[in-house]
This record gives sequence, C-alpha cells and structure tokens, in this order.
Amino acid sequence: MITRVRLNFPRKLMSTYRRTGVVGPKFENIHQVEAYLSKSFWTIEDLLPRYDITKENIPSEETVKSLLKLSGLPMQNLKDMQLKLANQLSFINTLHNLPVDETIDANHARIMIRHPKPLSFNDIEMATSKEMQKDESLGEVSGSWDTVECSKIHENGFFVVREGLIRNRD
Amino acid sequence: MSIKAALKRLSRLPSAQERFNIFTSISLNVNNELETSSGPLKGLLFGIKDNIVTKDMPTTCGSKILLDYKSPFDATVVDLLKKAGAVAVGKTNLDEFGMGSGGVHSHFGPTFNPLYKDGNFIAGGSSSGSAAAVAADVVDFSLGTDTGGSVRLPAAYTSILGFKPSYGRISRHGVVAYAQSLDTVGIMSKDLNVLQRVFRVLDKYDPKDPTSLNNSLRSEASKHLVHRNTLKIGVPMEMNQDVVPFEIRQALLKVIESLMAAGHEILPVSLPSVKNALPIYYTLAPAEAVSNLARYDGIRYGYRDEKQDIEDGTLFVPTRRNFGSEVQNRIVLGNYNLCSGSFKNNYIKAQKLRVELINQFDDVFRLPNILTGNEGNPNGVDMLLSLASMSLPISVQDYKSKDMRNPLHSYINDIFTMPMSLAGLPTLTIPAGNNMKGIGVQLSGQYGSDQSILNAARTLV
Amino acid sequence: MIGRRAYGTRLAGQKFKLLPEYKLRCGLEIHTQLCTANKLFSASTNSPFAAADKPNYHTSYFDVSLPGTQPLFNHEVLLLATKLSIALNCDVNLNSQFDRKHYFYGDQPLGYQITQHYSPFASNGFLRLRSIFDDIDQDSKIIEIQQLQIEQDTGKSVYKEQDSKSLIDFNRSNVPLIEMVTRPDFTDLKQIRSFLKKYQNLVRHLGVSTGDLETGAMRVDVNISVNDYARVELKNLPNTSSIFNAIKFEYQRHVDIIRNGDAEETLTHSQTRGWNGSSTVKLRSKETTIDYRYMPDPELPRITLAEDFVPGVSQLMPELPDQVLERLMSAPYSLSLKDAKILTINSNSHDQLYTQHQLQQFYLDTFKMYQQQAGESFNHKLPTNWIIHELLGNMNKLEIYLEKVVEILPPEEFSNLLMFIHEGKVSKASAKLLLFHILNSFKESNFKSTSSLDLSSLIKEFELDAIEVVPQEDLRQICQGIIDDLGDDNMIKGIISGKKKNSLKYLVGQGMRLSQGRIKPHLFESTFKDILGVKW
Repeated sequence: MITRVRLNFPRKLMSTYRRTGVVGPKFENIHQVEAYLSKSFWTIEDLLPRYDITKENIPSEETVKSLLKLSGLPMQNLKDMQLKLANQLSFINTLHNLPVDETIDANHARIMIRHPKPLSFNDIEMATSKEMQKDESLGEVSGSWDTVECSKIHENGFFVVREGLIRNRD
Repeated sequence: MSIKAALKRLSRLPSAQERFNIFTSISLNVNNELETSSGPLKGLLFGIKDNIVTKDMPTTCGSKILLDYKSPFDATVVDLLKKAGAVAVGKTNLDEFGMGSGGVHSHFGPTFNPLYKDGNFIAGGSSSGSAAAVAADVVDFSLGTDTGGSVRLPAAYTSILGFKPSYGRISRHGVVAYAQSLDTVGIMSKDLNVLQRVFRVLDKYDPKDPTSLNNSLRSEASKHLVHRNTLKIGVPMEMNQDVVPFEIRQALLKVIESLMAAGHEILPVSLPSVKNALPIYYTLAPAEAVSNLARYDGIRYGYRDEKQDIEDGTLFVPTRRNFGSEVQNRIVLGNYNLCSGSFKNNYIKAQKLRVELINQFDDVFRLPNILTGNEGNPNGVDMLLSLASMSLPISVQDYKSKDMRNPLHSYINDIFTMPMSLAGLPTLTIPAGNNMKGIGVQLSGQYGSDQSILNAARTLV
Repeated sequence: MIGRRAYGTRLAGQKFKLLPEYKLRCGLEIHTQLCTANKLFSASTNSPFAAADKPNYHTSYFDVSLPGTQPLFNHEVLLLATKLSIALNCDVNLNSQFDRKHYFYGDQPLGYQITQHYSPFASNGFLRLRSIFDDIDQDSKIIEIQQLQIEQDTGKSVYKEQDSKSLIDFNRSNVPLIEMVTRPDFTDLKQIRSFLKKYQNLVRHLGVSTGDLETGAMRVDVNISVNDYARVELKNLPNTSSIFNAIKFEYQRHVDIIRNGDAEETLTHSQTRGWNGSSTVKLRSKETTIDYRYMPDPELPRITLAEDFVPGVSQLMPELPDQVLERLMSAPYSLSLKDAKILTINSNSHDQLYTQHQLQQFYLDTFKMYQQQAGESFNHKLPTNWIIHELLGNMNKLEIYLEKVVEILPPEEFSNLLMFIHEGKVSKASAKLLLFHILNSFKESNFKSTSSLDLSSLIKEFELDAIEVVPQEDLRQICQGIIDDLGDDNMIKGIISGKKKNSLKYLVGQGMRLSQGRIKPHLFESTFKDILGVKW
C-alpha cells in the first residue's frame, strides 16, 4: 500500500538558492522518514562533467608541462595528464558559477578560532621567555642528534645535491 | 585486558597479514612490551597507520618515496599511548600519503576487506590497514587519519566503529601532513568502551602542534554538553541520493527507527552547501597536499634516485617520479589551483564556500560553535545522522577498472563524509544494517561536542 | 653582420658620472638576519655563522623538514620587528599572516619558504636622509619604505666544482629575516650609500641585527631603471663595492641601450641580473619567472596584536641615532659631525673595544662632571679631545676595553684629569704621558689596582707638574745652553734678523723637550727673544 505523505518541508525552500542551514519540523512517524529518504533533491550526476571533454576545453600541453615542472615530476604521459586534469577541472569548476558572499573572510575557512584575543605586550613577553626553552624531543638542542643520519648521501656532516645549484633563482 | 587475550589476537596476525595485507611493518617487541607495560590501556594492542611517525618502526606513508624512512621521534599520539600502557603491533597499510578512498593505492599493494572472506574486496581508504587490523581481530584498536573521510569510510566498509574527533583535539605532531587544515587523527575499534578510553588518553592539548585546541577552549567546550535524555537528531536532506542502493538506505532507516522507538526526535535539516563539499575539498586538499609534499626531494631523508638529482633542468624529478600515480595527479591538480592565474577563482573561492558550509552547520545545531562564535539555534538539533558511504564495498578489481574508466569515480565515494571534514566536526561511524556487510552510519555533532557523540552512541551499538 | 652589442664595457678606467638626460631610479630590497636567541619557527639556536666544521649542528627536526614536524612561532621576532618598524616610521599591521612561497632548491628544506606575501608585518614607512648627518647632495631626502615582512632564511650551499655537487648546511635554515622594500626613490649613488650606512647603523643601534654584509647577515638587492624603462633587479651583491660597481655598470648599460635606440626592444620587460665581479649577467626574465604559488600557511594562526603592543615596544626603544647626533652636535657638547658619529655610529660591529652606548655614556658622564667642576669657564672641546681622540687612541694602542678603563678611570677621575689640564696644572704633553702611564700600568698589573687613583701624587712623582714660577736665572741658563749647543750661527742670525722667524719655534721646542713640557712655551719664547735681542 502506498501511503501518500505530506512532507512538511516547505517546497519553496528546496528550489531557491539559499545560504543558510534550516531545521524542519520533526517527523511524526517512520513512514514520513521513509518517504523523505527515498527522495533525491540533487544527484551526484550533477557534479560529473556537464560538457564533453574536447580539444577546445582541455588544458594545453604547455599548461601541463609547466605544471609538471612546478610539481617536480617528469615530462611524460602528457596526453594522459591533460585528460585527467580536464576531468578533474570540469568537476571542481562547478564552483566558478556559484554565487558567494564576497564579504566573507577566506581566513575563516580554517578550523581555528575566528576572533582570537589579540596579543598584548605582556602576552608576547611571556611567550618569548617560554620559547627560550629548547625541547630535546624536537631536536632543538644543538648537536643533540645526527642530522644527516636519515639521508642516503652525505659528506662530512653536509647534505649533498649532485648538481651545481642553478643560479637563476632567488 | 589480559595478556592472554592479547596473545590470542597476535596469533591471528600471520594469517591475517597473509590474506589481507594489513601491515607495512610489524613490531618485533610486542611480547616484551606486553609484559612490561603499565597504565590505563595496559594489555591493549593497537595498529598505527603508517603516516604517523614512530621511532622503532619505519614510516613509509605507503610510498616508495619514504620506503626506509625511520623517524628519530615518535608522534605525540604514539607517545601518549605507550605511556598509557598500550602496545603497538605494527604500522598499517594505507593509500599513499593518505590520498585515496579504496585502500588500493599503496606501494605495498591493496589491503583487502576482512569482512569478505571470499574474494578480494576493498577495505576503503585511506586508513585501509587500520580498519582491516581491527576487523580481523588482530588488534583492539587502530589509529588512523581522516582528511575527507579516511577513517570513517573504511570503518563503514569493515563494519567497525570509526571516530573522527573535532579537528584540533588530538595532536597532529608526528602525523605526516596531507592537508593540514583537514587532517585529523581518528580511532577505530569494535568496542565503544575501548574507543572511549583511548580517546580520553589522546584528547589533550599539545604545545608542539600549532593547531592543537588550547586548554581554555577545551574547558569552554566542556560547558556545552548535550545533557538531555531525548535527543533531537537531524537528517540532512542533501545526503539523500537515489543512487544509494536500497539495502543501504534501509540500514539508515532501521537506525532511525530504533532511535525513534527510544524516544528521540528525528528532524529533516537542510545544508545547501553540502552539494559543494566535493568540489571545495578537491580544490583545497590537493593544493595543500602539493605544499606538504614539496619537501620530498630525497636530499635529507627518504628514497633517492641512485644517479641523479636533476632531469631536464628541473630539480628532484628523478626522485619524485616515484610518487604513485594517484599522488601525482593530485599534485598536478593542486598546482593548477595554486597558480597565480587561478588562485583567486579557485582556491580563495573554495575557502569562502567552505566558510558558508561551516556557518550552515552552525545554523542547524542547538549548541554554539566555540571557534566561530556563532550562537546556537534554539530550535536546532543536537546531532546529525547520515550514511557514511554510497555503496557496498566492491572488489578491488572492479574498483580499479572503475577508476580507469572514470578518474572521478573515487572522489565521489567521499560525498557523505566530506562535509564534516570541512567543518572539523566530531563524527562517529557506527556499523549498521544486517549481516555485517560493510554499511555504516555517521553520527556527528557540533564542534567540540565529542563526548556527547560518544555518549549518544551507546544507544546505537 | 649580426652581433650582440656589448653594453657597459666602457666602464673600466672612466670616472663614473650620472648623466642628467638619463634619470636613474633605484629601489632597495634588504634582507636582514635578526639576532634573536632562537630561530623563527623552532627553538633551535640562531647562530648562522657556526664554525664550518659543525655543519647541520643547530638544526631541529623542523629545520630539516622531517615528516610530521610543524612550525612553532618564536614571539621574540615580533619585538625586534616592531622596534625596526617604529624606527622606520611604519604602520604596524595588527593582523598579519604567514604565507608559503613554493620553489624547489637544495637549500630550501620544505620546498617552500614561510614568508609574508599577502599581509606583511608593516608598511608605509620612511627614512629621512639629511645633509647635516648624512653625506648627500640635497638638504633632505626622504626614502619611502613600502613594507617590512618577516620570513625564513634558507640553508647555505657550497658548490664543489670538481665534483659537480653542492654541499648543504642547514644551520642557517629557518633563521628569522626581515625583508625591507623601499620605493624606487633613490636618484643618485650618494643617497644609496648613505641610506645603507644609516640602515646598517640603525639595526645595530636597535640591537635587531649585526647588519654585516660580509657575513651575509644583511643582503642587498637593487632595483634599477633609467628614464622609466623596464626595471632590472640586481642580485648576488655580496659587499659594498659589488653593490656600487653593479649599479654603475648597469646604469651605463641602460644608457648605452637607450642611446643606441634599442630600448624599445631590450628594456621593455623586467629582468633579474647577477654580478660576476666585472659585469652584470642575466639570470631570469619575465618569461622564465617561477610561479611561487603563494598560499596562506594553513597551520599558523594570524598574528593578532593588541592596541597596546606597539606603544609598549616604543617605550623600550633607545633614542634614535639621528636624535642622538643632533643632541651631541648642539650645546653644550657642540661636537663635530665626525666626532658625534664616533659616539653614535657602529661602523664595524666586530672587534671594537667599546660599544657606542658605553662610549657615549662615559663621555656624557665625564662631561657632566667636568662641567660642574669647571663652572662657567668650561671648555667643551676638552672632554672631546681627551676622550674621543686621546683616550681612544691609547685604548687602541694598548688594546684595552673601555670596560676596563672605567675601572681605573671612572668618569669622576677622568673629570679630575681634565680639571688639571683645564687649570694648567699640567701641560698637554705631560697629561698625555700621564694618561698613557695610568692605562699601561693598569694593564700590566693585570687590571688589578690596589689603590684608587691619586692624580696629584702621580703628577708630583713623575715631575709632570707645570712649573708655575720659573726663576729667571734658571730659564736664561737653559736657553743659553740651547743656543750654545746649537752650533748653527746661521739660524741664530736668521732669527735675530727676522728672516727665519719660524726657527724660533724650533728653539722653543727644544726648551719644551728639555723641560719635559713643564714650562710654558711662551716663557721660552720671551726669554729667547730677550737673550738674542730680537726686536720683532
């Protein structure tokens, strides 16, 4: 028997773009819950690429080469990487079209206290004297551990790079 | 826990390891430590996800890049557990550097799901080995890390408890970073009491971790507990997906039914930004990953190419080419998002959208959020209930071929777990459904209300 | 024939001059190592110049970026950064943050540098050059400061050519730096030179840095453009001479390019160039620029400062060098710029027998006492000559630290010495001898003096006291003796006739010598004139 259930959730809330979370009235019985769970208000397919990945919207070989260089990865399988990147971008680029409140402070995205108590002069003096203490368990005591012990190649206590470090940098 | 019980567990290790490929290294010291250890966790055996550093066993992160790496220090969590008397059995397998949701992308090969004795099924990732170690009854509990769902998803797939505490409660000192604004150490076990006891030992401020929740905020959080006997539990509508198989939706329904029978109220809630959780995550996490993996050049530790440190004019390529393909993909994507051309549109935008999501969670919870300063909603819910996964565990073979056909396939698995990661909320995966086939539901609460979640879970296990 | 023009090769052998039709504009980017006790994001020791035989000695797990390590901010850096910001008249950002600047290099353990890109520590400051203090052609020149940011230093690499490899030492990794960027306000080399000296002295004066170019504690990059064409950044300038030689070379190179009409082609895009000792060479152009992909550090909270922080640091600040100079150059001290600078400016932070502060204090204390003792008739030049010239001279000769000098000659005693000179009780020459003697015997006694100094008895002991009243007879005898011993009739004739007036001075000098300066020269002069019957 199909029970027609009236969902208490106001219809209009489901269609307009809303930026707040909302709590609806409680479910009276399990059938309401069942009906609720069987509905989909959006689908995953919405997230999958809407457009076909074609020559026009695939990242160029130049782009991928420069990305590989920045990544310290080898210049190989370029076509493959172009395709993969195109797929990933089509997925995350859905964000581009979303409206967002521009006044939002992007820093608040971190899971840290949003409005910390500002540091007073006293706070900083106290922090400074505490931080003078070296923690041996962090290797902070000079000469307390053999710094080069984990490296495959080292010489007289120095690390080694097999190359004249390129001079065209900072 | 007696030594006898511990030894019984250990006796299962060799065959479990052989069958399910759980560990990347195994401690040679277990028997000794069992004898000599003391403390509130005495006699308990545990597995450590191999992206948490240990002095006496290598830390590989499931990667060729750190194949023989031996850390000169223990992670804080390892230290605390040792001091409490627990004994580490070994380092558990994982998706390389924590990137993956199937548990198949490891230099050591995939870990298989102990629930499925016939055939090779995925255990979920990235804390695949940690989940399998618990599911195979080799250890009493495991440590995992959860960045987008990496503790909760494998816990669901192996039908065990998987707890991801509020971000900042458990120290990340010694946890190899994937995405530092998301990484959280999690605890997996079959026994809620064990899980609770372990959490008590680890839930401490660590001055060595700059993101560790400080003591004054911890005491602030403890003022806000859910005291009532009847809870208001919200079910987010954005997590209803008709692609989810009937069996799994039934599992959730059954849980809701028992909650209602116990007198709790169930309410629909809407969190519109949940739809954006995946794209937000895959914009931010790879970008942070790029940054955190930039240090792997072989010069100071880790694997190093035998002959060269430079290729085609780019430093460190000979060594870094040894990252697995999944990691390489994410690095390239991450760099794309960080490049100056796209930074504002991609990275910054994703951050702002993340803020909106966090605010929306605050809109539906009754408790205030001690970090954001948002006050609670007097008509809000105490907790949220949702599924942990979209499907049952599939075979490793199927997983790999799906991956090949659609590179986004593995990303979508995390859709139910990701929103809580972005908001840093305490979330517990609880096994559900009949026949223990790898279905789990998630119970999550306001930031900081970890204890309330663990208390509420008693009614469900 | 297609050939590259070699610009700027005319430099050698020609005196450098700025040409009025080719306007120079320069800006500076200076990186300064802070002398905090510990490093920027860990409590390992900040000692970047640890002996070469101890590489990778002051390195914590974080400094070599071991997996699982995290940055822990050292708040001492805020105190030093704020002092410098205040002294440079900057606005301190009460809510700054740290960002990651990504690039691969052997000396960059994290694969990124933690710096401040989006929200630096301070901005909108200035440093004023004034011709009364600084060597510039204009009366006053203000150099605007764009920003100050806090960032990590890198490790150090040494290239071994024969083996084609670089050796890396991370002692310097994570040492705190302040990068200061000026606007391109410099229009001539004197301004740049003065600014560098001034900035160097300022950081030393504030105790913020040693400011040494030689050790790399301070590193200077120059931005240069001529006639508003593209900007060229000059790097790898390890000392003052390379800085100025590079600027001159590059200026000339730009002038030549513009003259030859190639500016549209060659000077449209910005470039980075290095100095190889004799010419600038291209390092990087806009096309090959690295994308640093700046990303806010997700682990480090913003630095949020309370309103009272900057005023609190202000209170700890010493008087700024220019203010001190001004004070010393006015009454009652009225020092010359040169002398005032000796008391104020640390031109070489090592190997000094005194700190500017110590010397200044000694000078001021002694001056005050002398002024009190002498009253209305005090001579401001006396303490100056005797401290800045005589005392320092002796200290250098004997290699005695001022700290030690003060033990035997505290300001009260030195003032007493000045009084003896002031009252003519001892001649200048004698006082010089006395001073030397006091210091020397103190040194020889291994800086242990058993009794306090008694100047009067010392003077008597060595018969240094000026002879107040000289019996005429004795004086005539001495003078006659000198004349007789001279054996130079021509000279005598010259003196008498007036043709060799200066030779009288010689005779007087002899007299001074014989009497060990105890008899005033004018007495000798009149006696000689008398004996010889000099009429002029």
